[in-house]
Amino acid sequence: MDLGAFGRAILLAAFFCAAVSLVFSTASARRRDERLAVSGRRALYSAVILVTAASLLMVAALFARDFSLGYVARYSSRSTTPVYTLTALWAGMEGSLLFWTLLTCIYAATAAAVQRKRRPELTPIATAVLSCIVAFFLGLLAFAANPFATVSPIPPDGSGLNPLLQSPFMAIHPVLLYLGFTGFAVPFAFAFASLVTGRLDVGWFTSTRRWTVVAWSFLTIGIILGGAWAYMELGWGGYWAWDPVENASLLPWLTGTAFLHSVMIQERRQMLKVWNVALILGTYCLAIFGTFLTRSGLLSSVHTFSESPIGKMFLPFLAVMLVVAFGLLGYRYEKLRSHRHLESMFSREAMFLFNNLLLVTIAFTVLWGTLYPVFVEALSGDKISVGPPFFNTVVGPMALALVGLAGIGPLVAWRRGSGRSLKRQIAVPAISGAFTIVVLALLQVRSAGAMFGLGLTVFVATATLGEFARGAAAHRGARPFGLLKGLVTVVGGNRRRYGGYIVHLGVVLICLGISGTAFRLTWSGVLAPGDTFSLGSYDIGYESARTFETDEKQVKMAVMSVGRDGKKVAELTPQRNLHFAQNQPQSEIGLRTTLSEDLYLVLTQMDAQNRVTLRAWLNPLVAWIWIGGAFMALGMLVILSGRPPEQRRVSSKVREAERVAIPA
Amino acid sequence: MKAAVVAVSVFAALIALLFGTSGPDPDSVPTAEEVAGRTMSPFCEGLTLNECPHSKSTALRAQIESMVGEGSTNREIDEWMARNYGIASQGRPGAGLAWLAPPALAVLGLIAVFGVIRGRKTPPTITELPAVELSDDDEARFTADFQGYTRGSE
Repeated sequence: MDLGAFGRAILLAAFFCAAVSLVFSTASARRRDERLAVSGRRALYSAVILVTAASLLMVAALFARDFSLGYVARYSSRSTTPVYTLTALWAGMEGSLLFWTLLTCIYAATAAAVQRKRRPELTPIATAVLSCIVAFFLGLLAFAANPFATVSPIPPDGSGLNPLLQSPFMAIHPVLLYLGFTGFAVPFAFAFASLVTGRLDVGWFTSTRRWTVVAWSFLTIGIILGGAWAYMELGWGGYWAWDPVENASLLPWLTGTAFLHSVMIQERRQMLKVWNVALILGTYCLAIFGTFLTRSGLLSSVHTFSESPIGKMFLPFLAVMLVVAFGLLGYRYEKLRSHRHLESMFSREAMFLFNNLLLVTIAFTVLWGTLYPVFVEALSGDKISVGPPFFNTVVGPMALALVGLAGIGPLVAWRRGSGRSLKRQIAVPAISGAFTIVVLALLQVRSAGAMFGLGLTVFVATATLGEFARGAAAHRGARPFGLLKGLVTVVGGNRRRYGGYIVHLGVVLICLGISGTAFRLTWSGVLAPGDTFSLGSYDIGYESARTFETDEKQVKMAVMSVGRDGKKVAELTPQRNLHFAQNQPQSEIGLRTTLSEDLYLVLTQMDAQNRVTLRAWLNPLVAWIWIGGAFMALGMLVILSGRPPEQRRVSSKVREAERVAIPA
Repeated sequence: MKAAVVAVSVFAALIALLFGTSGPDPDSVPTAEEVAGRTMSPFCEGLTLNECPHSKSTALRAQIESMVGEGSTNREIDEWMARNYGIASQGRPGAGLAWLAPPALAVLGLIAVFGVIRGRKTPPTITELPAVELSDDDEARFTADFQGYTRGSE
């Protein structure tokens, strides 16, 4: 049996196991038969083992340069380095589907194993849902997008990985994105199971909240690294272009963020149960929708895979998911409806509701703007594009309001806030923010977005740091300690709260970095060796040209000296490369990065006389976006390092307070 | 009633904000940088002229610079772009439904939030308090607040 046939046989066997798991798990839930549930789980574990084997087989084929497999021939070559040989596993349509399936399988099997004792009433149905998802993807792999398809005649060498994908960021960014997308399958499955079984108490989300946080964390870091990849590799001076595929990754992130906030209202007040279920169901549906967008050819983008028939297969799957999941939600509506109501607009709950409203409206706007050209073309035949001019205008103000809420929300009490207390706590942050805006206005900053963005940055940062200070002051009353120990004590006292605040600080730093866009300077022109130009406070000189060839590419490099105040501070070497295997030109940027600004050079052309066409950007504050991302990651680690909800105590003091306050 | 007034006011403000900023003043003469920052490049998928590193984009920016130098207005430049490269170069939908849908949803959501807040039927009682986790941090804050309150009332 050749490798192609062997690989496909493994996929078929895995598909069979997933289907068996679906049938047995469903039957176990109907008959309440634990033996069937065990068989269902074992079938799912078998599918995981088989998908892992198929993935390892593909990796082995990539490293062995087995060009008899079409996938290996298209995405690797004899000169591809080991890291990018591994990266090729998720660089193409079929391989990325295999990788997606592997991650879904691992999540599904782990969730089934971990939750079977904690939530025995929900796990069989959740396992069935997860098996159904795995079976769908395995069906695609086995019957429509076989990564083990062979080619004849066998080419002597492969085409190699697209040069744009040969970046350390691309080695890790898709992995994290996929970990995020696929991770939402677990809360989706448990929410679905709670709807099917009618067990609609807080159980389904307390047992899956950490899964949601894990998936959300991966997605967050994946999106930020995607921005870093675009910035470093695509050579257009920016990190976010409102590209349809970028938008597709943002959609589940937005609804997932809304869920992580609104679920706290359900925990505290047993409210918004319908909304929370809808959010988590919608989040996974949006993750699948994003997969459909990248594989359907419906929209074009630098991120999409080539058009393929499998895109169309996602639509019925997505439609069934939506109809069944939201149909069940409608069926259980009365049982889910809360009879509690918000008591005041001036409460933490109300702040979370406004936060959710903004997040969902932004998600709708992004979805609407992404699909609008498709609707227009379908209805009128006109080709239009919806890009930054629309998204920045509509999303920008809402995003600013959202950042503002991150500062106000933590200061407002649950149930009913006190105006006096809020005034006391908000005074310093509000004055700091207003002062920032006034200073920027005096400096004649013309961009309202940047002024408010920076003002809000200061406001939220001050409010959040004030929360740390208040926590430290409260602890200090009982135990005196130094700054570092104090910080550790405060954060350790409530990791979920302070982890969330650290995430908020990360968002604030990202907001700071984005605000810098308003102060961006650009330059473009043609230079001969010896020419100079100025950009901001930099004097940039074109010293010389270098041209050389490696096995994979021809490199044309401009040696640029960067000076400031008469002193040379850096030498940058932007390149224009021609990759032989793909016959594809690609720019390598020249970048000098500091905390205050990035000098970003792109060589677009070099002629026979060594004259270069060069674009230069001076991008202020960009480094803070990546630092903000690191803060967000740190905050998520702090949140996840806390005890899981099942292991937390319900405070005896609260129960005692209730007992005393409400005499029998 | 009050909620409806607030909602309508916010809606009107959002509409004004969006339409006020949904496009440049057609009769004013822009800077080349402004045009390149809001016009989609025909040569780079999803990027504005300002961001597109393609050499043809550089030439097009130079062309726009010369039009601006000759005093062309936003309308004239947009029409020239649309004639030569199609309306996709505008990167934004025309006025109408595309711009109305997001604020309309925001307002509907706002009305729903007011509905949730105003819809309370029973006064809150202490029996509604669910037993929740009280972390070490909560305890410390509660104790500090309580001590402050006690000192204040002495």
